Amino acid sequence: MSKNNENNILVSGGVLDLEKYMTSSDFIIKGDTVINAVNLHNNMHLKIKLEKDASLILNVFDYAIDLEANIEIEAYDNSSFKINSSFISEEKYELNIDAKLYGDFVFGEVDVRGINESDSTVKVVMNGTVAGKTTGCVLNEYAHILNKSEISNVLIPNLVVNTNEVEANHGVSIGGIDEDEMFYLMSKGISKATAKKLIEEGFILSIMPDDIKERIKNILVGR
Amino acid sequence: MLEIKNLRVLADGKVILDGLNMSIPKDEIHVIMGPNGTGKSTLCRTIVGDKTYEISKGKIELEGEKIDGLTPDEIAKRGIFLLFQNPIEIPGVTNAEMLRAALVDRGVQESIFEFNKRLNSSCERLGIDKSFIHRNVNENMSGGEKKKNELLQIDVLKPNFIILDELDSGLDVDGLKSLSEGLLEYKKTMKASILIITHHTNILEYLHPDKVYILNEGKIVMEGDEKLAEKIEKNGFKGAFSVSE
Repeated sequence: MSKNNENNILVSGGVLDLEKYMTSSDFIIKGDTVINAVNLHNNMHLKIKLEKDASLILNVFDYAIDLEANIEIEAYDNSSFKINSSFISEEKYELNIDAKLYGDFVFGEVDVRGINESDSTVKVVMNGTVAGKTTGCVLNEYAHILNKSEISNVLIPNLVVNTNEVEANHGVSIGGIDEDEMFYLMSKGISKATAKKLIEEGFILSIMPDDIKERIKNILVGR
Repeated sequence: MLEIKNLRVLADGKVILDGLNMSIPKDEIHVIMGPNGTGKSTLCRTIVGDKTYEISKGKIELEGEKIDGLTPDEIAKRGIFLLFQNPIEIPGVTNAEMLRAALVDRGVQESIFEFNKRLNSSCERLGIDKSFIHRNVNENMSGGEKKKNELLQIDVLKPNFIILDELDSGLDVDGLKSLSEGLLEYKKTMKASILIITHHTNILEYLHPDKVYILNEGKIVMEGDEKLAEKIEKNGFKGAFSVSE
């Protein structure tokens, strides 16, 4: 990791665990990189430029009290990115992901899983743009919210596609706990409260790689 | 012993089961057969406390204690286990996490090392790959793997009354044979009772019942020994009694 003249952080592969002071930073990614932003308790504004042939996995988890996260990503030829974003909102949470695919054969996927435990609205906006004259790009945007109260949530999956040579998908859902899953766990002798906790945490952990799952589980002990 | 006395069950106000009486003693295998849609699965779900179904009359007792009205977890803790026809997938929750939660909620106090040893020895005993322990509950598993996973749960949770809801569903012949052998071995060791719900007789080739009930339109219309199942196999349900279309 180093900095260039414009104060961008250059990352040429490897794993980077973000720290609080880095939550408003501009990154340039080369090589195969993993960035983890786990429970930093801070508003976040990341600008990421994914250079040609680079790949990025960005894992974000927030156990949030009134936080806002903004992630902007620009991707160029043959690059790929996967953003896994999980959160539990205890007061207010807003997540904006803005992905711009400027090159050919870019693969991008955004997967958001959140639990709204609060009486405040959760807002997730995913803007995906595929530039004109590009070819062979894939862009997927998914967001699923588990709502624990009657409060309304806002999920916006925007896809702006300026070329015909693209595969773009989006899917969002807001709902409560699956009753079949609850019944299944309870029929094994698990109390209602424990079954609920298992399902909720499984829901947000299911998109995370194993090492991040363990870190999040440790954060959620005693929740 | 599980006893069902004069049971009437409604779903959405409609009578699904009516006047049902059964007694299933310890260490016996009983089977309920019947055409599709006659209330077999309703009976399974009612026994294990699914509140979708309303018991409007009668009762269910286990070892003389009334269990209807209890929640599914309370019923499971009394030793009743439902082996699901289609086990549910729980994303992000591993088998180990589910089983540990189930044991903790039963009051089992053991270290993580003792727990791991318990799971490993269950896998070894059943010939199940130990990777199952850390896989998410039923996620991306084949029909056979899901049923094996339920067998692993039985071995860990040690129920004394097992309900098999269409065990053969999703299993090939070898899978059914191997699972049936595992269940028989468990029954022999634990002196457990088994209630089989099925509309096929192929499972009875491996699990020989002490008693056979035929259910039609929510009522038991015939009962007998294994020969009754053979009769159904030969003549079909329609040949054994009149089934309304």
